[in-house]
Amino acid sequence: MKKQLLIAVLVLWVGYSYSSYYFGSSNNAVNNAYSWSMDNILPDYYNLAVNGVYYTYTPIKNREDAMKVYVQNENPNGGYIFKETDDWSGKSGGIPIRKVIGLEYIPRELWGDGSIEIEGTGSIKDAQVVYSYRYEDGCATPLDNPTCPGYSDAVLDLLPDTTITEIYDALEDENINREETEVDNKKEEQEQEDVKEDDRLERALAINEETLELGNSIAQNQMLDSMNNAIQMNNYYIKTIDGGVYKETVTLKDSNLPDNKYSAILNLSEDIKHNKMVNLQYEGNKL
Amino acid sequence: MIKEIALIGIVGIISYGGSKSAFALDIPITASVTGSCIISTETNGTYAQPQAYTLTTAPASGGQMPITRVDVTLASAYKVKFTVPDSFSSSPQLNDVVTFTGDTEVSAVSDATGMADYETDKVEVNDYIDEYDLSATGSTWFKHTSVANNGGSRAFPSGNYTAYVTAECIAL
Repeated sequence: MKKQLLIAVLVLWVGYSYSSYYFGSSNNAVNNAYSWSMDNILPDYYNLAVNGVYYTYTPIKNREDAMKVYVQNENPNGGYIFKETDDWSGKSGGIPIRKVIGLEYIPRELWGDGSIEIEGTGSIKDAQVVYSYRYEDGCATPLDNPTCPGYSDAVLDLLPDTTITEIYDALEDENINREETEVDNKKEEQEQEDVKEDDRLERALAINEETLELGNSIAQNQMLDSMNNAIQMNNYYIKTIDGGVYKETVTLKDSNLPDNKYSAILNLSEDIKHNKMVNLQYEGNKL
Repeated sequence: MIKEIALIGIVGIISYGGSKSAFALDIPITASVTGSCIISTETNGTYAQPQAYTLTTAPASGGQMPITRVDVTLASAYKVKFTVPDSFSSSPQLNDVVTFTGDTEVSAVSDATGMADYETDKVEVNDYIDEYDLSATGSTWFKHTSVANNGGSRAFPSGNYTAYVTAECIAL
């Protein structure tokens, strides 16, 4: 996380950078074979263009001999992109020649293989060919510009773990987090209390509503019952019984009805018994 | 009468001055001529002391030959004249006669065809003076040697010694 932040800062930091030119020169391109590949001479810099060639050598020859020396670079598109001819014919050797040829920023892509060729009788020694060039700061190194290839990797390479600058991150401060946790817990408890309070209130309101609804339902039921009863009773009210007059058909004839003897005996015996029981209470008082 | 003469005289002078500006005019013609022969020091020289009584610029003895560069932009318009030292310009007190020898040679050229024979074609005016005709445009490097021997093979006194090579571009 910190690395990413630091990378982001670096990216933003270099984001405002502008392009500018730098100049440099190659090492001596000449080898024993007097021919060289420019891939080994010119660096792989961004928008590199050659703006000059410096060369020197010492001709070894007799004055009367014809000799020409060519210092040249092929053009990949054909011919030569650079070619200088030194005609030593009939001239003395032994004196070095030094040449500096200015060029108008020829792009790197046009510079093919280089060579020194000798035509005629003679040789050279102490040869040197050096190219001066210009390039943009864009991608001389991957770090020059965020758009350069390998920029991210280069930035990461610059950030070994041992050299990472610790950036204070309040969000990761343990004390602050603890404090925030406590505050959060309190807030959460308060929210829970509020929720409970709301629940209670809602429940009370719900009970009240339910009670009202219950009352309403009871009243409705009673009304329904009353209505039902009324409906049911009406059936009875409207029931008509087929009737008429039931005339007395039994005719008792006057006659002597004799008393029941057994009933009299029973009554008497019960009376006696009753009397005895009543009298028992008095017998106790006598004692 | 005297006043009138004086007055005429004054008027005459004024009249004469005014008529001069009316009948004559100086018309400037300017030119900015830059040097077509430029001499510059490529390398300063240093004396070495291989013997107590000898000071030399020879590299083999540890000295450094001064190198002069002459650039010309007009062919066959100049010659360059070099004078190697025949005395010290500054030195400690010397009680003996110092003998100077020296020479000038072409060190390098920038044009094979036009300059390759500068050295063979040079004019040695005397033991100290060499002249070169600059027949081609471009740069020519000249190296100079200087050797000083103290008389009687006596050691040079300690101190600082300075001598100068003089180079001149002379228009042909």
